[in-house]
Amino acid sequence: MNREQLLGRYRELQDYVGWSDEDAGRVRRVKPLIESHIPALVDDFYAEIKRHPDANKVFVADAQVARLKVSLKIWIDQLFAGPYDSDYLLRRWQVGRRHVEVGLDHIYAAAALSRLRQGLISAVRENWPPEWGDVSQTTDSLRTLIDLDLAIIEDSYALAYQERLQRGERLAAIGQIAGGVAHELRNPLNVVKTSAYFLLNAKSLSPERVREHLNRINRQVNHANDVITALSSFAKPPAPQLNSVSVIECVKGALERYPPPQGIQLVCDLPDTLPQVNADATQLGIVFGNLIRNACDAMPAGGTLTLTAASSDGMVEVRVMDTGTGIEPENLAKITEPLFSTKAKGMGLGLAITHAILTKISGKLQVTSQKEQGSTFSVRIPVGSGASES
Amino acid sequence: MKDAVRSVLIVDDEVDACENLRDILVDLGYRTGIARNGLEAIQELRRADYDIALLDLKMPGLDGVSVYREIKRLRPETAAIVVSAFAGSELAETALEEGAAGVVPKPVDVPQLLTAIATSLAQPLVLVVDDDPDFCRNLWQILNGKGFRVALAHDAEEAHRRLAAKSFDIVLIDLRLRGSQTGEDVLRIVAETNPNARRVLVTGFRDSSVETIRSLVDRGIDAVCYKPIDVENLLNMLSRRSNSSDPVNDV
Repeated sequence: MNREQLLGRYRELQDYVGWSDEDAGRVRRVKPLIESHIPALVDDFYAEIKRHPDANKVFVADAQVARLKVSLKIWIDQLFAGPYDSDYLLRRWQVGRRHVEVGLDHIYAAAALSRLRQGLISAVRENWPPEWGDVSQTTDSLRTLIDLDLAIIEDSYALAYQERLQRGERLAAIGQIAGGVAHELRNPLNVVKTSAYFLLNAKSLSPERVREHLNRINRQVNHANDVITALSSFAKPPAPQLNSVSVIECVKGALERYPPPQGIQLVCDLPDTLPQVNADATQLGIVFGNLIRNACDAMPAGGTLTLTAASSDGMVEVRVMDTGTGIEPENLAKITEPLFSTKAKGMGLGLAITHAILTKISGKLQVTSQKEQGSTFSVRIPVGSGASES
Repeated sequence: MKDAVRSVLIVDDEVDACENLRDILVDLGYRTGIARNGLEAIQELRRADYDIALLDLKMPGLDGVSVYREIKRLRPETAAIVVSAFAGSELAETALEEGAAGVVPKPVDVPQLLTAIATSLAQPLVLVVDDDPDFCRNLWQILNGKGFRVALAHDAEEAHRRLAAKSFDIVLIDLRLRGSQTGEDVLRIVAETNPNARRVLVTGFRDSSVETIRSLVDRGIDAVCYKPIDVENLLNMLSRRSNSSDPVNDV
């Protein structure tokens, strides 16, 4: 928040609580009365904070507390003297941010400030010259002024706290991505590096061997590139090119690209004709490819992969069923989260991408699974028109 | 027939990674085997003997640590070296705690890996013959922790099979074994199959009479290790490269 915004917000708050120049005048007038009490109030303020272990651990050195006491003294001086301008406000704004930085829970600052307010008001009352008349108007003004200060401090505290949380989440996400990418890239790099070593150091090297190793290097560089492509296309998915698409063709295309390995029996129940859907054929191919690959990965000891398609109630539904390991119930809610994976290989983007693609065309992904029995993924896409025109 | 060629089992679910290490190791004269998952690795170790197992950690099915636990059961003398993209992970730490000889990060620095293999192979090979499985396990942990490669035999027949298959540097024998054959039989087999191996007697009976010691020397024993064993003395004795021409040592 910049100076102008801060000042604007403060003026709004002043209007709201009815702060006036008369209030400012009343507060300014009592400053000399309480001047001599300020050092004791400052000492009490930090004594109060330091009484709480959680708050106390924030202040490591006495020198730090000594510095803070000087700041508090200036704060009180400004409180009485004004002017209530942007410099005044920036000082308050910094207090909240500083508390977040040092990890001081706002509750302690608020409680200590409340205690300071009581101390200041008592000092005003005790030193009030009777000939000045009623004291309550002045104490009310002082209370209002401190409330306004507290509002600004709270506001800056909340904002800084939120920023820090977001920064933490961002760092955690980066860490997670780095971990996934590290594995997926180090494996192809490992092949490239060991092939290079072999080509440079082998005692006996036939031309066939050389070719073989160059092919491996080529294959693994492609694999590494695929990893990066998958990651960047997940981070910034290309806009779908919507056309009238045959879901059956997409399923068949995916099956051709990812034929089930040996030991897995394929059962297809796909009708010859189904209503077309409005979708991006390439992206839909990715959806079914991911589901077919996952199903096969779930059956390391073999099993049956069943693909069915049907239409009803204006929706085309494709089911991908496996007889594999199943999904742990506690993982079911997480499977479409990016970077969640229970596999030894892969970054955990497949179902996240699948989900994102389907959402864009108003499609739905549903899963039922039973441990050691298998899983069924159901894709439902509206017939004809897809999502919003693009 | 004892296998003079050093052997390495490569366990990795990435085919190209396996093939590359095989090419490199075969070129250097090693015998190699490849397993692309934990089950294949265990089957291969049941079938054949390997000096070293190179273990990937993250594989579908059994992970590298689970495979290593099974290796320890099947062939405790096989040294495991972890080769993984997760070299600093908890799984890698666990493998080291379980007794793996080392961790080499991927992408593999081949000279580093070859050094790790050579270092493991240079460690003395010890056979512990004792019918107490807990004692065997403890001794395995202690000696493995000090870098020895340690094979176990729980009876004389098993000891015979081990001694026939490999050249041991040191044999630790408990004279009182269950079964039809005794420690004395094992001593005879050691003399036949591994004449250069140092023979260390492990016994609970403390008898230091001159006749006993003389009979021990006659049977080619160069040290006696009394239970409960003094680990430090045992290690000192094992690390000395002396042989049976020395008088019998009490440890």
